[in-house]
Amino acid sequence: MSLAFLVPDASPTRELHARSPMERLALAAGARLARVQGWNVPNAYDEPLVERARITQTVGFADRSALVKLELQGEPRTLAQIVARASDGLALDPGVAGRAASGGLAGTWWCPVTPSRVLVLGAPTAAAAVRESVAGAVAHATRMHESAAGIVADAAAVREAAAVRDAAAAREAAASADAQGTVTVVDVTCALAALSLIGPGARELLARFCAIDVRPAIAPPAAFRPGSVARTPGYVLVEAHDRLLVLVGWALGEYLWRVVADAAAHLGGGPVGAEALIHHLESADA
Amino acid sequence: MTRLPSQAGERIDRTQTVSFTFDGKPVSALAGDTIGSALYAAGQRTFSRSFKYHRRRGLMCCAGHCPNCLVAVDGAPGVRACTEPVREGARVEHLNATPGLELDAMAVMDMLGGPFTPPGFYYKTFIRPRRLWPLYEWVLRHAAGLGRLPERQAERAWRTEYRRRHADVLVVGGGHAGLTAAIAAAERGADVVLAEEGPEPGGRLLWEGGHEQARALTARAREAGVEILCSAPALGHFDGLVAVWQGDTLHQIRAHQHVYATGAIEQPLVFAGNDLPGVMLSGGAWRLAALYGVRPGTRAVVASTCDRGLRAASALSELGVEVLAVADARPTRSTQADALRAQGVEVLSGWTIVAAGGRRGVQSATLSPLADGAGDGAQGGGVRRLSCDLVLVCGGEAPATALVAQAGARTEYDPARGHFRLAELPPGVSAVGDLAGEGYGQSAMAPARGGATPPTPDVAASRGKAFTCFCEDVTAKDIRRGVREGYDSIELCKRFTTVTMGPCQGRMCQLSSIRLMARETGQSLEQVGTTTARPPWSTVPLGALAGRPFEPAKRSAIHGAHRELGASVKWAGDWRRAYDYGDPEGEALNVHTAAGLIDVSTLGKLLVRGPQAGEFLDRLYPNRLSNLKPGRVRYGVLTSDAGRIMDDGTISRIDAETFYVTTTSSGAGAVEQWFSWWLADWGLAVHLSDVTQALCAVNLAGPRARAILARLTDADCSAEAFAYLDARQARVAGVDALVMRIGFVGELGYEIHFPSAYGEDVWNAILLAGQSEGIRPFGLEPQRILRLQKQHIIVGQDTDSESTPFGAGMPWAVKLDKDEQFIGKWALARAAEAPAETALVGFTLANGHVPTEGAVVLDQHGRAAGQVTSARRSRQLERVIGMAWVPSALAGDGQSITISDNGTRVSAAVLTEPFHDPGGELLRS
Repeated sequence: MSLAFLVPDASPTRELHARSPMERLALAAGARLARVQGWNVPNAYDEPLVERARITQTVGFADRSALVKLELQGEPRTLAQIVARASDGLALDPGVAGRAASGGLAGTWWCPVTPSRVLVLGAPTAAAAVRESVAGAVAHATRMHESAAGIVADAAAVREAAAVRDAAAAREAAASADAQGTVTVVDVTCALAALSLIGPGARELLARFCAIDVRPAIAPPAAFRPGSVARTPGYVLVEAHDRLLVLVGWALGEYLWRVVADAAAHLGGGPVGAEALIHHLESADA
Repeated sequence: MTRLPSQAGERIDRTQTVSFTFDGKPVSALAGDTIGSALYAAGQRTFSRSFKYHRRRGLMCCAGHCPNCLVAVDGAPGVRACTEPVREGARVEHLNATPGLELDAMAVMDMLGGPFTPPGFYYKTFIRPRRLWPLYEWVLRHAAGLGRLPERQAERAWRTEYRRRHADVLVVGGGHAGLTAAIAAAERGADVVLAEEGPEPGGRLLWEGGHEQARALTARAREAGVEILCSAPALGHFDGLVAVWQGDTLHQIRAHQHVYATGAIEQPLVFAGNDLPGVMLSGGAWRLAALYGVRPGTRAVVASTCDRGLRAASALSELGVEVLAVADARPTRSTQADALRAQGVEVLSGWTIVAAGGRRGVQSATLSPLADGAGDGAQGGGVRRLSCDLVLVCGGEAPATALVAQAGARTEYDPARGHFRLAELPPGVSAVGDLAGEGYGQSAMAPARGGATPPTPDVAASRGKAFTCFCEDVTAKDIRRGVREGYDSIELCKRFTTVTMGPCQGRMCQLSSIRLMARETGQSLEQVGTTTARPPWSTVPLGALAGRPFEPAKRSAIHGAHRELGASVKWAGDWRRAYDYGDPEGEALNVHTAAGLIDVSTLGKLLVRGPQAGEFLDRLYPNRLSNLKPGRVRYGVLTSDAGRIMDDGTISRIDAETFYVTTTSSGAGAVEQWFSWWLADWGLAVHLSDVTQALCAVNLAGPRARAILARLTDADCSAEAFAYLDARQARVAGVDALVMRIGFVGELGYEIHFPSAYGEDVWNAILLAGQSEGIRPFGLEPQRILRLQKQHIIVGQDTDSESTPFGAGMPWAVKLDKDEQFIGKWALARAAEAPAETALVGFTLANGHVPTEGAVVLDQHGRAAGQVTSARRSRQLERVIGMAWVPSALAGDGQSITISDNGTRVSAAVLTEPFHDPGGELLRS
């Protein structure tokens, strides 16, 4: 058996629809859905100009629960090697995410939750490639480690254990050496719902339901903050100076939408679809 | 007409009018007016009735400090008219007067109430007979109070928002000193927030002739990047977090550095009739004239203890108010007094005011030389009674130390200035301006220096009420009574008399009550000390503190489908769950006769991975799990290190190094923490992932479950290929899923786990595939009936913190012969040796009565010896069934137990085996 039952392997040819936990509320807000890699994604809610104005003048929020999300666990040094290999040399510092610039993982965010736990976020359109590339990077690092660990175990721990004729200690030492090289990957795409807050009022909107300090001087682009979001455990990733990605548990997705929609309306904002978001990203790139 | 000619720096726009109503009557205001200034300009002098005696009260401070102008605006009570801006169409109403403000029936309390309602009367009267207390309470609540709150949320026209703000520097107070500090910090590059309780920064500069300087400083602060919050009083300092309320927003500000510039508050004087409409603080009258162009009166008498009052007298005199006399408590002549004399105003040094007279408002003031005989009083002047319509008082000033004291500052009495000053500040907190005794610093504006301690004449012995606390109607006599009854410390006196406990939070009464206490007890003011400063510093609606309602509700990905099917939804832990679909007993029965489908996505789900995963679980659970074969499932009960049941669930082995653990819905978070905690301690080669919300889970159960599942998957669903307690990876309805053959509800069943994103689609696909087989969805309540028939426990309902697996009838879940140590082994070994006093058993009732969960089980002697934990009526079994903890002696099949349920005693028969399918043949079929 495998852990395939965790993976929303939404192929475009299948009849099934992968749905965000916010889908019903998005539809109630007037969303027009598009199918992206098997996911129902809100494409637009209002006229394009209205949504673009929202993003440039006040604040918009976009459901991005379809992002592919992978959780890597392992010994910090091994994880660091994987991140560096997968993202062209990125080094992960606490509180700062890295973004891969090229290769199969281009555009993915590598977010350090703890020194031994990393959250990888990628576009749904590249889900398969992201999963494959991460698995490749992990396999490579594990192979590298296995050869090193074998030497370590032979040369030190096991020999020492044998010296005291303690078979249990020998087993434990071997397992410990093994564990240091073990990196596990779990697909948590459906564990975390995600909303982007976009526009000049993004930080102000976040401040209406979250106490995490995201002032530009404190949390510049790429800042990553695990913490309490709307009184639930979550993460905030500063994707750009005017764009925050908020992640909470999937089962709290509907709740998060309600909280954000209510606060955004108070600030003159509202939901925006993928079209407006893409237009905004392209404008920013230009 | 009480409007003055246009004033330099005034806040009103004389070209724009605004209309609102006061008690239903139209009032015309000018744009920029406050409700208070507009009403005063329109001739209104009585703004409210006092808390206890229902005395008339009028404008006094014009700064939002005192309680005299509290009104209701558009239904929201407790609004200070003197600072609330006028709004077109606003509906302003008085508080606490029946039938009206001018004729208040409860004003009789002013004539009769004094001797009958001394402080603390409510502790001594209205006690007997006890049965009349509801009536007393009703009367008291209607007699006193500060208005009525809307009873329901829907009637509230406003909402409040929380806004979290981090900053390098927070400046509280936007006067000259606060603005200067904010500018200095911002120009050094700091991120600065300034919170000002008034409508614009500038403080006294605004009405004392420095408005241009104030507005220039404000502009400079904004240019430097200071975020200025106006009409934003700080409510309290909570361990570094300062709450600031601004209209519909509660700012929670966390700053590295706090600068308090809260200034000093002008103090009233205590004399008979000091609360009459027309008796105003000198600064209040000055503000009214300078900012709103309203003449506060025509003939004024002034009583002051410092230059502040004299400057106000001078300013008002220049505006055309006839100042009849100024009683300056200082015995020596001052420059300011000489300046007043040069304006033709009579200044009486060494005099003070002893009474104000009048019915609807002040009509006279009585001045008297101070008893010490110094000053002009020494020249033989006697008591003077002057006709007037305005009395201006200034009892010096008290630094507004409450907020900074909440931050940890210490205060001490300054005898030279007659008030409590800051003596010590905590790290990260600084004080500037009047609060720190700095005045205006280098500004051209003169600070209010050269003051005298206000006289504390024996007003308690005088005729007429002399108030020290305007909010709570506490008089000088009340303080004397309190001390004589033994409440001779300031904290006790506060609680007994309620002085300083009203809306002003001690702004108007703290210092004067301390002075009265000192006089009555013979102590120094230093010895009397101050009361503890507590939030909120400013009045604030509770709704503002509550903010927007946040109710983090977890919902399964199938939740919407349940709603569409008509489910009644209830809380279950932190989840919203489908409780039933309208027919719980029928839904349960359908599981026995055909098939049912329930959403169990709320179960906790953990992945335990790594070369030592098996060992890790062996250490946590009392049974053996490392020998579980891939593709098999085992039940596990999780025990604490005291051997008590914490949680239960299933453990499936995915491969050699991967286990999939389910927990109860309510225990998911605790189990994840428990696992993480031990993992950190043991340092095993194991990785733990919580995938509770990543996966939907449904339980397809009933005799037709196999046929339905077979239609949705290519996997072999035969009993041989997919046996009881097998786990299989299969594609169900086109989705990769983990399918476990387990049976919490006692029928052939499959628990299907799959990605949450497909929740609704898979749910609907199963219902569709089972339509011809008679499938029905079932909710939490039917599930509880079904599991009770099998005597499957619900941890936390059928167990408590003392329950062990042995007492709960699950000795088979404990493997004391395991080689490995495990959590609770020692305690469980002892529990195995010593039989439990009580045991969890099933019972049936013949008479159809369903006992309350929690009903008492009696022993042979009629003593309480256990309790019912679960009870339901089973349509399948056609009887009432339940589970209960009973004395071990009664825990045998066929034993009779007595249940006492709300006074009714019923007999029940014990059954230790499951009521339904005791041999488990259906589960294994």
